[in-house]
Amino acid sequence: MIKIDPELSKYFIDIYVVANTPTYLYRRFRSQEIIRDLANRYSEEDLIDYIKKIDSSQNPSISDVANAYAISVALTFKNSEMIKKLLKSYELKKLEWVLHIVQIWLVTEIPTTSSDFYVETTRVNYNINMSSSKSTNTIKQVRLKNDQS
Amino acid sequence: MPSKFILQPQFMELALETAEKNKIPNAQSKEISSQELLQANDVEKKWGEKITRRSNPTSIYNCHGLVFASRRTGIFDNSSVRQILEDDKYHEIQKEDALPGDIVIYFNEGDIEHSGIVITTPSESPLKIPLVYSKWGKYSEVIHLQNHCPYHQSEIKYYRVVR
Repeated sequence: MIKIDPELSKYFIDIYVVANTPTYLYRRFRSQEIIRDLANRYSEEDLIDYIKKIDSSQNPSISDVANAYAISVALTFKNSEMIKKLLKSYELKKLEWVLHIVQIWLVTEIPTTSSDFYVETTRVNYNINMSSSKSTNTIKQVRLKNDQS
Repeated sequence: MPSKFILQPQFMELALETAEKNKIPNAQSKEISSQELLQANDVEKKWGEKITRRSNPTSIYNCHGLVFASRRTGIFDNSSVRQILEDDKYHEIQKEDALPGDIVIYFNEGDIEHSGIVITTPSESPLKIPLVYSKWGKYSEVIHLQNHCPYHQSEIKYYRVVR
Protein backbone atom coordinates (compact mmCIF):
# COMPACT_ATOMS: atom_id res chain seq x y z
CA MET A 1 0.00 0.00 0.00
CA ILE A 2 1.52 3.30 -1.05
CA LYS A 3 1.59 6.05 1.56
CA ILE A 4 2.58 9.55 0.55
CA ASP A 5 3.70 12.05 3.13
CA PRO A 6 1.33 15.06 3.31
CA GLU A 7 4.25 17.47 2.87
CA LEU A 8 5.26 15.67 -0.30
CA SER A 9 1.66 15.81 -1.45
CA LYS A 10 1.70 19.58 -1.08
CA TYR A 11 4.71 19.70 -3.33
CA PHE A 12 2.95 17.52 -5.91
CA ILE A 13 -0.12 19.77 -5.72
CA ASP A 14 2.06 22.81 -6.48
CA ILE A 15 3.17 21.19 -9.71
CA TYR A 16 -0.17 19.67 -10.65
CA VAL A 17 -2.29 22.75 -10.14
CA VAL A 18 -0.33 25.02 -12.51
CA ALA A 19 0.23 22.40 -15.23
CA ASN A 20 -1.31 23.55 -18.48
CA THR A 21 -0.42 20.41 -20.37
CA PRO A 22 0.47 16.76 -19.70
CA THR A 23 3.91 17.47 -21.13
CA TYR A 24 4.57 20.06 -18.42
CA LEU A 25 3.45 17.64 -15.74
CA TYR A 26 5.63 14.87 -17.16
CA ARG A 27 8.72 17.05 -17.44
CA ARG A 28 8.37 18.60 -13.98
CA PHE A 29 7.70 15.36 -12.15
CA ARG A 30 10.25 13.32 -14.06
CA SER A 31 13.03 15.72 -13.17
CA GLN A 32 12.42 15.15 -9.43
CA GLU A 33 14.53 12.61 -7.59
CA ILE A 34 11.61 11.77 -5.33
CA ILE A 35 9.68 10.38 -8.29
CA ARG A 36 12.50 8.00 -9.09
CA ASP A 37 12.53 7.02 -5.41
CA LEU A 38 8.83 6.15 -5.59
CA ALA A 39 9.55 3.99 -8.63
CA ASN A 40 12.35 2.20 -6.77
CA ARG A 41 10.32 1.68 -3.65
CA TYR A 42 7.16 0.23 -5.18
CA SER A 43 6.30 -2.41 -7.75
CA GLU A 44 4.52 -1.77 -11.04
CA GLU A 45 1.40 -3.39 -9.55
CA ASP A 46 1.49 -1.16 -6.47
CA LEU A 47 1.81 1.98 -8.58
CA ILE A 48 -0.98 1.03 -10.94
CA ASP A 49 -3.26 -0.08 -8.10
CA TYR A 50 -2.82 3.36 -6.53
CA ILE A 51 -3.74 5.10 -9.78
CA LYS A 52 -6.79 2.86 -10.25
CA LYS A 53 -7.93 3.48 -6.70
CA ILE A 54 -7.85 7.26 -7.12
CA ASP A 55 -9.32 7.03 -10.60
CA SER A 56 -12.31 5.07 -9.37
CA SER A 57 -13.05 7.23 -6.33
CA GLN A 58 -16.12 9.45 -6.58
CA ASN A 59 -14.67 12.78 -5.45
CA PRO A 60 -10.90 12.54 -5.13
CA SER A 61 -9.18 15.29 -3.20
CA ILE A 62 -6.65 17.50 -4.90
CA SER A 63 -3.84 15.70 -3.05
CA ASP A 64 -5.16 12.32 -4.24
CA VAL A 65 -5.14 13.52 -7.84
CA ALA A 66 -1.73 15.17 -7.61
CA ASN A 67 -0.30 12.05 -5.96
CA ALA A 68 -1.79 9.87 -8.68
CA TYR A 69 -0.05 11.94 -11.36
CA ALA A 70 3.24 11.78 -9.50
CA ILE A 71 2.79 7.99 -9.36
CA SER A 72 1.95 7.98 -13.09
CA VAL A 73 5.30 9.57 -13.82
CA ALA A 74 6.99 7.09 -11.45
CA LEU A 75 5.62 4.39 -13.77
CA THR A 76 7.83 5.79 -16.50
CA PHE A 77 10.90 4.52 -14.64
CA LYS A 78 9.52 1.00 -14.77
CA ASN A 79 9.45 -1.75 -17.34
CA SER A 80 7.33 -0.51 -20.21
CA GLU A 81 6.11 -3.96 -21.29
CA MET A 82 4.79 -4.61 -17.82
CA ILE A 83 3.04 -1.21 -17.70
CA LYS A 84 1.44 -1.80 -21.08
CA LYS A 85 0.16 -5.16 -19.86
CA LEU A 86 -1.22 -3.73 -16.63
CA LEU A 87 -2.94 -0.78 -18.31
CA LYS A 88 -4.21 -2.73 -21.29
CA SER A 89 -7.57 -3.75 -19.95
CA TYR A 90 -8.25 -0.77 -17.71
CA GLU A 91 -10.33 2.20 -18.82
CA LEU A 92 -9.49 5.37 -16.92
CA LYS A 93 -12.54 7.30 -15.79
CA LYS A 94 -11.34 10.30 -13.88
CA LEU A 95 -7.64 10.95 -14.38
CA GLU A 96 -7.51 12.60 -17.76
CA TRP A 97 -3.77 12.78 -18.38
CA VAL A 98 -2.45 9.43 -17.15
CA LEU A 99 -2.52 7.82 -20.58
CA HIS A 100 -1.01 10.91 -22.14
CA ILE A 101 1.85 10.76 -19.68
CA VAL A 102 2.45 7.11 -20.46
CA GLN A 103 2.22 7.93 -24.14
CA ILE A 104 4.76 10.74 -23.88
CA TRP A 105 7.10 8.29 -22.20
CA LEU A 106 6.54 5.57 -24.78
CA VAL A 107 7.18 7.81 -27.76
CA THR A 108 10.39 9.11 -26.24
CA GLU A 109 11.85 5.89 -24.86
CA ILE A 110 14.22 3.71 -26.83
CA PRO A 111 12.03 1.14 -28.56
CA THR A 112 12.67 -2.30 -27.11
CA THR A 113 10.00 -4.06 -29.06
CA SER A 114 8.07 -3.62 -32.25
CA SER A 115 4.75 -4.40 -30.59
CA ASP A 116 2.15 -1.68 -30.30
CA PHE A 117 0.55 -0.43 -27.13
CA TYR A 118 -3.13 -1.22 -26.94
CA VAL A 119 -5.38 0.18 -24.28
CA GLU A 120 -9.03 0.98 -24.25
CA THR A 121 -8.98 4.61 -25.23
CA THR A 122 -8.78 6.76 -28.28
CA ARG A 123 -5.51 7.32 -30.04
CA VAL A 124 -3.02 9.85 -28.81
CA ASN A 125 0.11 10.74 -30.73
CA TYR A 126 2.81 12.90 -29.32
CA ASN A 127 5.71 14.63 -30.90
CA ILE A 128 7.59 16.39 -28.18
CA ASN A 129 11.12 17.54 -27.90
CA MET A 130 12.67 15.69 -25.00
CA SER A 131 16.18 16.60 -25.96
CA SER A 132 17.22 16.95 -22.36
CA SER A 133 16.73 13.25 -21.76
CA LYS A 134 16.95 11.25 -24.95
CA SER A 135 17.65 13.43 -27.92
CA THR A 136 18.65 10.69 -30.30
CA ASN A 137 15.65 8.47 -29.84
CA THR A 138 13.51 7.67 -32.78
CA ILE A 139 9.95 8.68 -32.19
CA LYS A 140 7.72 5.81 -33.06
CA GLN A 141 4.03 5.99 -33.59
CA VAL A 142 2.22 4.06 -30.93
CA ARG A 143 -1.23 2.77 -31.51
CA LEU A 144 -3.72 2.85 -28.74
CA LYS A 145 -7.29 1.63 -28.78
CA ASN A 146 -8.47 -1.91 -29.37
CA ASP A 147 -7.24 -1.81 -32.89
CA GLN A 148 -6.85 -5.39 -33.98
CA SER A 149 -5.11 -4.66 -37.25
CA MET B 1 4.90 14.45 -37.63
CA PRO B 2 1.93 16.34 -36.22
CA SER B 3 0.84 15.39 -32.72
CA LYS B 4 -2.75 14.91 -31.80
CA PHE B 5 -4.40 15.23 -28.45
CA ILE B 6 -7.59 13.22 -28.38
CA LEU B 7 -9.20 12.58 -25.07
CA GLN B 8 -11.18 9.59 -24.02
CA PRO B 9 -14.77 9.85 -25.25
CA GLN B 10 -16.25 10.68 -21.84
CA PHE B 11 -14.48 14.04 -21.79
CA MET B 12 -16.34 16.95 -23.31
CA GLU B 13 -14.92 18.44 -26.48
CA LEU B 14 -16.29 21.57 -28.20
CA ALA B 15 -16.32 22.33 -31.91
CA LEU B 16 -13.24 24.52 -32.21
CA GLU B 17 -11.54 25.55 -35.44
CA THR B 18 -8.82 27.89 -36.59
CA ALA B 19 -9.52 30.70 -39.06
CA GLU B 20 -8.58 28.20 -41.77
CA LYS B 21 -11.15 25.69 -40.50
CA ASN B 22 -8.63 23.24 -39.09
CA LYS B 23 -10.06 21.40 -36.10
CA ILE B 24 -8.47 22.03 -32.74
CA PRO B 25 -8.70 19.13 -30.25
CA ASN B 26 -9.80 20.42 -26.87
CA ALA B 27 -11.50 19.36 -23.66
CA GLN B 28 -13.29 20.85 -20.71
CA SER B 29 -11.56 19.20 -17.81
CA LYS B 30 -13.75 18.09 -14.94
CA GLU B 31 -11.05 16.17 -13.18
CA ILE B 32 -11.12 18.25 -10.03
CA SER B 33 -13.75 20.53 -8.52
CA SER B 34 -13.22 24.26 -8.03
CA GLN B 35 -13.73 23.66 -4.33
CA GLU B 36 -10.84 21.23 -4.22
CA LEU B 37 -8.71 23.62 -6.26
CA LEU B 38 -9.17 26.23 -3.53
CA GLN B 39 -7.11 23.92 -1.31
CA ALA B 40 -4.08 24.72 -3.44
CA ASN B 41 -3.21 27.65 -1.23
CA ASP B 42 0.53 27.03 -1.45
CA VAL B 43 0.42 28.65 -4.87
CA GLU B 44 -0.91 31.78 -3.16
CA LYS B 45 1.80 31.55 -0.53
CA LYS B 46 4.54 31.13 -3.08
CA TRP B 47 3.43 33.76 -5.56
CA GLY B 48 0.84 35.77 -3.65
CA GLU B 49 2.78 38.99 -3.25
CA LYS B 50 3.88 39.06 -6.86
CA ILE B 51 0.58 38.35 -8.54
CA THR B 52 -3.03 39.45 -8.65
CA ARG B 53 -5.53 36.64 -8.86
CA ARG B 54 -8.41 37.68 -11.08
CA SER B 55 -10.71 34.66 -11.03
CA ASN B 56 -11.61 31.61 -9.02
CA PRO B 57 -9.73 28.41 -9.83
CA THR B 58 -11.33 26.26 -12.51
CA SER B 59 -10.21 23.29 -14.54
CA ILE B 60 -12.59 24.01 -17.44
CA TYR B 61 -9.97 25.92 -19.45
CA ASN B 62 -6.22 26.31 -19.38
CA CYS B 63 -3.87 29.08 -20.53
CA HIS B 64 -4.32 28.27 -24.22
CA GLY B 65 -8.07 28.06 -23.67
CA LEU B 66 -8.01 31.57 -22.23
CA VAL B 67 -5.86 33.00 -25.02
CA PHE B 68 -7.29 31.14 -28.02
CA ALA B 69 -10.72 29.78 -27.04
CA SER B 70 -12.43 32.51 -25.01
CA ARG B 71 -12.25 30.58 -21.72
CA ARG B 72 -14.59 27.87 -23.00
CA THR B 73 -12.28 24.87 -23.04
CA GLY B 74 -8.70 23.68 -22.70
CA ILE B 75 -6.17 23.17 -25.49
CA PHE B 76 -3.41 20.80 -24.50
CA ASP B 77 -0.94 20.07 -27.25
CA ASN B 78 1.82 21.91 -29.00
CA SER B 79 0.75 21.23 -32.53
CA SER B 80 -2.69 22.76 -31.98
CA VAL B 81 -1.21 25.99 -30.66
CA ARG B 82 1.22 26.11 -33.57
CA GLN B 83 -1.67 25.50 -35.96
CA ILE B 84 -3.61 28.39 -34.43
CA LEU B 85 -0.60 30.72 -34.64
CA GLU B 86 -0.20 29.90 -38.31
CA ASP B 87 -3.83 29.82 -39.43
CA ASP B 88 -4.88 32.87 -37.42
CA LYS B 89 -1.97 34.91 -38.80
CA TYR B 90 -0.02 35.51 -35.64
CA HIS B 91 3.37 37.04 -36.39
CA GLU B 92 6.25 37.18 -33.97
CA ILE B 93 7.13 40.67 -32.75
CA GLN B 94 9.96 42.02 -30.65
CA LYS B 95 9.33 42.26 -26.93
CA GLU B 96 9.94 46.03 -26.91
CA ASP B 97 7.20 46.46 -29.52
CA ALA B 98 4.60 44.51 -27.53
CA LEU B 99 1.31 46.28 -26.89
CA PRO B 100 -1.70 45.38 -24.76
CA GLY B 101 -3.59 42.60 -26.53
CA ASP B 102 -0.52 40.92 -28.01
CA ILE B 103 0.17 37.43 -26.80
CA VAL B 104 3.18 35.92 -25.10
CA ILE B 105 4.25 32.28 -25.41
CA TYR B 106 6.63 30.43 -23.09
CA PHE B 107 8.66 27.68 -24.75
CA ASN B 108 10.65 24.96 -23.03
CA GLU B 109 13.00 23.11 -25.37
CA GLY B 110 10.56 23.58 -28.21
CA ASP B 111 7.44 22.63 -26.29
CA ILE B 112 4.83 25.29 -25.67
CA GLU B 113 4.47 25.41 -21.92
CA HIS B 114 2.34 28.48 -21.36
CA SER B 115 0.62 31.42 -23.04
CA GLY B 116 -0.80 34.74 -21.88
CA ILE B 117 -2.05 38.15 -22.98
CA VAL B 118 0.02 41.33 -22.67
CA ILE B 119 -1.70 44.10 -20.70
CA THR B 120 1.01 46.75 -20.37
CA THR B 121 3.82 47.78 -22.66
CA PRO B 122 7.35 46.85 -21.56
CA SER B 123 8.27 50.54 -21.49
CA GLU B 124 5.83 51.13 -18.61
CA SER B 125 7.99 49.04 -16.29
CA PRO B 126 11.42 50.11 -14.99
CA LEU B 127 12.83 46.70 -15.94
CA LYS B 128 11.05 46.76 -19.32
CA ILE B 129 9.01 43.71 -18.43
CA PRO B 130 5.35 43.75 -19.45
CA LEU B 131 2.45 42.75 -17.27
CA VAL B 132 0.61 39.73 -18.55
CA TYR B 133 -2.59 37.99 -17.65
CA SER B 134 -2.76 34.30 -18.05
CA LYS B 135 -4.37 31.17 -16.67
CA TRP B 136 -2.12 28.96 -14.57
CA GLY B 137 -3.18 25.42 -15.33
CA LYS B 138 -6.20 24.47 -13.24
CA TYR B 139 -5.57 27.40 -10.93
CA SER B 140 -6.82 30.95 -11.49
CA GLU B 141 -6.39 33.67 -14.04
CA VAL B 142 -3.50 35.72 -12.79
CA ILE B 143 -2.03 39.14 -13.54
CA HIS B 144 1.74 38.92 -13.29
CA LEU B 145 4.97 40.26 -14.64
CA GLN B 146 6.06 38.19 -17.61
CA ASN B 147 8.88 36.68 -15.54
CA HIS B 148 6.89 36.02 -12.36
CA CYS B 149 5.24 32.69 -13.03
CA PRO B 150 6.00 28.98 -12.68
CA TYR B 151 6.91 28.50 -16.34
CA HIS B 152 10.21 28.23 -18.13
CA GLN B 153 11.75 31.62 -18.89
CA SER B 154 14.47 30.63 -21.35
CA GLU B 155 12.52 31.26 -24.54
CA ILE B 156 9.68 33.73 -24.52
CA LYS B 157 8.16 35.05 -27.73
CA TYR B 158 5.56 37.71 -28.43
CA TYR B 159 2.98 37.52 -31.20
CA ARG B 160 0.41 39.78 -32.82
CA VAL B 161 -2.29 39.01 -35.37
CA VAL B 162 -1.37 40.71 -38.65
CA ARG B 163 -3.88 40.40 -41.48
